[in-house]
Amino acid sequence: MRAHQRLWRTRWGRLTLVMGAVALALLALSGLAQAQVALPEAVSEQGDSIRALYFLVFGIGVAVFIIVEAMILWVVFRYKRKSDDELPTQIGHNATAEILWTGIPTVIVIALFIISFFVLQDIQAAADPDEETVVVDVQGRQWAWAFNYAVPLGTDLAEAVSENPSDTEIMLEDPSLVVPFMTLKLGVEHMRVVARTGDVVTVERAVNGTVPIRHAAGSEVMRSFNGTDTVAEGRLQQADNTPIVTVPVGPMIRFNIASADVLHAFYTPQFLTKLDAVPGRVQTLWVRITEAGDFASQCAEFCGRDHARMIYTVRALEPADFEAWFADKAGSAPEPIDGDFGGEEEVEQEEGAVGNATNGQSLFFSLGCNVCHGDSGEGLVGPTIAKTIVPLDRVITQYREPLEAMTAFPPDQVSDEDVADIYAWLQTVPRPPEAAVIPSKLAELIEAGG
Amino acid sequence: MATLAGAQTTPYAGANVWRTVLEWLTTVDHKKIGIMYLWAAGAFGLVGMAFSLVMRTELAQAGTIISAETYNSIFTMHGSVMIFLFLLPVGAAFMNYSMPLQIGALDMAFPRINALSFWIFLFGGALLAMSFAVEGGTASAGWTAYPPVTLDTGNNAEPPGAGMDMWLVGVILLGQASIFGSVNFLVTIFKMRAPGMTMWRLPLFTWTTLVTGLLILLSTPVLAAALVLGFIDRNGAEGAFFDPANGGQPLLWQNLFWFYSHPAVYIMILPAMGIVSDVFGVFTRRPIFGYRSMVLALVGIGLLGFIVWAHHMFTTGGVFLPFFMGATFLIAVPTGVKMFNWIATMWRGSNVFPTAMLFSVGFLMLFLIGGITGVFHAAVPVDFALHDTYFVVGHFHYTMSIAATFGFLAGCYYWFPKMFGKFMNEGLGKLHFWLLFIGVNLVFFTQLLLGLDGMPRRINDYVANPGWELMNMLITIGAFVSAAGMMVFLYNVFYSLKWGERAGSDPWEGTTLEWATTSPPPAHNFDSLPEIRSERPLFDLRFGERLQDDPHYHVNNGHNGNGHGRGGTAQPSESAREEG
Repeated sequence: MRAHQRLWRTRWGRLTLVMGAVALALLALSGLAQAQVALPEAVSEQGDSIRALYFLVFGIGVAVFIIVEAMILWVVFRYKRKSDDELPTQIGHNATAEILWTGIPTVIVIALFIISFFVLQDIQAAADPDEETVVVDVQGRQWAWAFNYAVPLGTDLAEAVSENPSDTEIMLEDPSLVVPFMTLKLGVEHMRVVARTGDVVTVERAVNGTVPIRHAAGSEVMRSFNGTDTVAEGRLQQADNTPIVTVPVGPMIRFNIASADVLHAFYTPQFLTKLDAVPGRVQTLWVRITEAGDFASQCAEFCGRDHARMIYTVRALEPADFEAWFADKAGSAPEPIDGDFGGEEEVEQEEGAVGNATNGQSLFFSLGCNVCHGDSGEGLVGPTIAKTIVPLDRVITQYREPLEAMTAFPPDQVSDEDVADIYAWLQTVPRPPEAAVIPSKLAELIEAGG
Repeated sequence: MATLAGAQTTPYAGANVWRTVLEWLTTVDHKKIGIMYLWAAGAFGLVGMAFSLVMRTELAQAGTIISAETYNSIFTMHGSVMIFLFLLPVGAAFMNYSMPLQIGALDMAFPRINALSFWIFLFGGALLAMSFAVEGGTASAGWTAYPPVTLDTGNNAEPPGAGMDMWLVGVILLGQASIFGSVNFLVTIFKMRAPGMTMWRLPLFTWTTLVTGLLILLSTPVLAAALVLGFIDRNGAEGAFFDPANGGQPLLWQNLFWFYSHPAVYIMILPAMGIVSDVFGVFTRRPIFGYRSMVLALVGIGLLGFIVWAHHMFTTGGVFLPFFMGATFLIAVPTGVKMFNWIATMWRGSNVFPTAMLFSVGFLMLFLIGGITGVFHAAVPVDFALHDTYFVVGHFHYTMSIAATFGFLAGCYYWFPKMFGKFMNEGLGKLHFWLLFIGVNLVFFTQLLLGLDGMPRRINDYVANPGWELMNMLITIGAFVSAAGMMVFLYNVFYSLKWGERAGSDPWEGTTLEWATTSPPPAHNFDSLPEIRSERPLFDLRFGERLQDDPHYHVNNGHNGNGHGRGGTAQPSESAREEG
């Protein structure tokens, strides 16, 4: 007799196996007791609708599960062969039964379809045209989120702009309002100001992951700014700074979701919804938040190596708090600059710096460094790098073999000269006050003499 | 293979090992090809399971043990191996082995193409395996390989290396093997049936082979197109097809990919449904309830399977939601019909429960949960909440992964005596069943709960909240319990090959033609065939006399529907025989 047969035949063997199974079942039950069999409490109007539909589907599902599972167990335990020559009934059809079990499920799924259809209409509905809304331009990028907001610049487009991304010269009614590297927003498209020659403003089209679209003359021009806050304690071991998107409770919020590189998904479990960030598209998600608080969120579409670390927090503030926050973030319009800028002109550079700071500034944005380090290197998810004390050669090493979460940039993508250019520009920008500095492990190492 | 050959009693007994090896390498016998598919797919299945254990070890607690790159590579290969190298070929294994026997054919219509199909499959698998050795490692963007993260165009921060190309080419080869196989199955079923084996007398497993063959033939070329475009995109076109930075469209890949991969779900589950249908027929001594509605449901699932692909893309913002929601809901209907028919087959049956039957009942229970959770995803607003969380991981494992595996395991226990002339050990079989049944429920039910709580899939680390940590630990324990069950199975296979109780030609009192020949069958399959008057020729042979006065017993008449499809219309066997 083999070992396993002995095990099953002895009383103790059976006892061991049965006890093992019972222990596992208890373990499972203890786990299930802690988990909830429902979606999380929604903090948005749309989420409430989704949760109600969920409970409907859940109720039908549980009923079907119990009925069918009971039928299975019934036929299994009730009908067993009693003798070797037993022959059961040979009934092979029953029209009534078959019509019933085709018809009833059909009716149920059609009803579910109709209800789901109306819930879908409801949760996808846009705000009323005359209703005040808050717009957040969400940009997913490997592996960080940036949340941009916009305020009116105070001028309109003087001439139409085509959807061709190489159409980079635009005419504004009042071009004096733009300054270098200001981000303009027309429709859902973001453009970065590169130069101004006379009345002609040269821009980089479709930045921040947006897409080039056609703009009619007279379109309103907005000034876009990065409103990403960060929270210092990371929720994951390796993520030190979590980006925060700040929104108000009450008004409809329009999230314009874009991606600068690959697929991502904007997913806040307590909104009970998600929408993919698809490169080449700007997609809209409408949410009306009903509760203030911080809501943990993360990317839900696989986007490469550090997908798991693309976490963010939705911070919902009461309307008055939000307005104060917004006014503070938006700041006032920048001081107008007289005359032309950009083109041949050099950014003011400190003595001894190597590299072309103007080119460096341009690279800083086109490579997306600003997504993590802020528009002037003040630090967001990534550390403060304005006026960094880390020497250039060590910075080049950081590009090639990054310490911590930074994306690696191989030499064929960013040459040593390019890094030197960016480094030169970073030495020209103001360093934020010490209290606002996001610490850098690399800088700490250098300071410690590493 | 030497062990295998040892288990074969005739006609190779006594041949030396090398001749036996050569015999297997050059064989065009559908039975040997089927067995080779089974061994190869089984081995790949164990590898896929090992990958899942690595993932579960990493996820048991928050924090990381292996690097993110390694984790991404492992989960990608887990999916790719399990789908392309385990579930699809294990279905092909049974279709190869049993279908020609069930229709009373000598072999497949194109035996050489059949062998070619197997060797292409093995080569494709080898290519995927070899990608572990290249610089940059294997593909690591999931088995769905959504661009642009698979591309090496400028905007992707960490472009994958040559492993991605090997994955694309490997899957093209696997698809080609599938297409060859499907043509063979279809022609065999249409042209090689024994006299008397009309379409309405095909065993249900053969019907599933037919529908599966059609699905493969119509959908796989679309996957091949996507893979070729992906390969071109990576090698010269710089994302012109799939990366918008260069004029491409990432959703194009998703549409093409799911146009294959949704039907592929049915390609995996239908053969398992066929197996359990046959098993229920045998171990209840009853006709399969609603045979024709079963066939129609099968065809219905196949047809609907082609118009629901975009339900994998509800959150992309790029599909017409109401249409795909409606079509997806509708699939619940034919699936429900099948479920009720299976239960009705056991109802008032003379049921016995050997391991094959246990796994078939297990299949029903698991598939039920999979089906119900599918309705959650069909309701688009609910899918918005659940898509890409562990809920969907639990859902699809319940259906196409673990329910299908239960069906295939039922097939192993059921056809093992036919393949090797020996029974599998029943005691070990039951231990296997219970360990696996408890283990997989612990894994996948907990995953449903974890998904409800909002944990996304495909992450190598997660926020350390107590609920997620506990649930993840339970899933990991369940995974190891399941693996222990599969080790028992593996032991059982080798134990039974060596010491298994001898089985005669018809050890289960089978109903279909494969039981009308010796175990294992001779190279030419049959010396003689019984009269075929219904979908259960052997049942008729065994019990026909005793049942001839039973008003419900009738031999299925292939020429008109009068004797079939209506409850209560008596059709005594004798009159049917006269008509035939």
